[in-house]
Amino acid sequence: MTRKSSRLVPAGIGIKPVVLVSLSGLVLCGFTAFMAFLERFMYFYGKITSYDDAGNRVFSGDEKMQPLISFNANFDIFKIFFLCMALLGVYFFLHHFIGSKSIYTMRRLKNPLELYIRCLAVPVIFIILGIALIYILNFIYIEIYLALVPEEYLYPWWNANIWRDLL
Amino acid sequence: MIKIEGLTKKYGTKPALNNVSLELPRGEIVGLFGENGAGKTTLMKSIFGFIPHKGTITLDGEKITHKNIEKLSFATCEHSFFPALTPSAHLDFYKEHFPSFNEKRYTGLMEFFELPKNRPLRTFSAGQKNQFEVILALSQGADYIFMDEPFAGNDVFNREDFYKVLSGILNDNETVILSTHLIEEVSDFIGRAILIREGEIIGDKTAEALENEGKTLMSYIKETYHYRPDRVGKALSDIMGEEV
Repeated sequence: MTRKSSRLVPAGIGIKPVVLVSLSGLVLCGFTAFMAFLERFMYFYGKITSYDDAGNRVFSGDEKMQPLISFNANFDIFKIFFLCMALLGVYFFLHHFIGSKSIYTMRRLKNPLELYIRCLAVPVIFIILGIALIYILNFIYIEIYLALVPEEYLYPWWNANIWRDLL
Repeated sequence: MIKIEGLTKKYGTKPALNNVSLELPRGEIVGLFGENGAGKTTLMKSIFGFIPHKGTITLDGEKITHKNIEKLSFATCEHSFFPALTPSAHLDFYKEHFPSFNEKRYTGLMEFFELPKNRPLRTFSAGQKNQFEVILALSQGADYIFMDEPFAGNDVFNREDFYKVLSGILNDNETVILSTHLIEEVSDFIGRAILIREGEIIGDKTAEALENEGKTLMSYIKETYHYRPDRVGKALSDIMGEEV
């Protein structure tokens, strides 16, 4: 059975603005996390590279590239977003006490889960999307590492660390 | 039938309902009377399971749960509609969630009260909000319609019209439990009066029994509450320091 998208939020709240704001938050977090990664990446990348006389970037020195890929590093940036989503769920519940006690109607419905679905669906969906985005970003970081850093400049155990972190 | 046995509810240490037992058969219009804080609202909220309580409440022999709660509807002065929704959106919501929703009755009552259909409820006047609250409760398709001070804020003409409409539209198997302070107004309309005081049922009589005893609803209530008509005179005399 399919559920209308408008039934994923409390009655009287439009789903479109809620999704738009949540999506904007998610994108902003993803962008911030990616920029933070790039900044750190470029810093350490600069340590294992230098410029030759012709101005080309070349790998040099004994230093290895730091393994910057970490679920926790991304999670820190997403923490505020997840907190906002949790507060959104609380607000959706309290919405049933604002201006009237529509909670009485919600608690008289045949489906006892209706109230909780309407309060928690959007926050839970966006928390799942946030966690998925963290993993996607980590895979993008791995691809960037593999594309830009030669194997001899990687720590031999970097792969193992990444997978332990991600899984 | 709704059967209440040993219903007890306390707010902290203060008892709100004390061992209340009551039977509410189908097809009655019951008036629930009592002072503010007597326990009328607590009794209704306990029946719906909105507040935790002790004792048993059954509907046709079964505990009231989500499986049978749609047989009960609730019009409250606190309002249970969605303020941001229009009446049209409420119609869709109720049709979706209450399979027995009586659209014909809803439309008829909306037209009778001349309520706007496409304006959010929050823009309605206090009287219109009350009317809409009662319309929803009457149209839900419930067997037991609970009304807790539903006319607070309505003018007398509106209320009178409403009693007439209500007595005309109810089916034989529909029960209305009406909590109100407007005793005189509902005296011709109710079939049974339940009096509650300090969380206890202190009186329960049918209109027929009152008629046989030659009592009016008001006299029955005053008698049961041990109303002292000289109380006002004494108080005024004390305050003014003279004989009134």
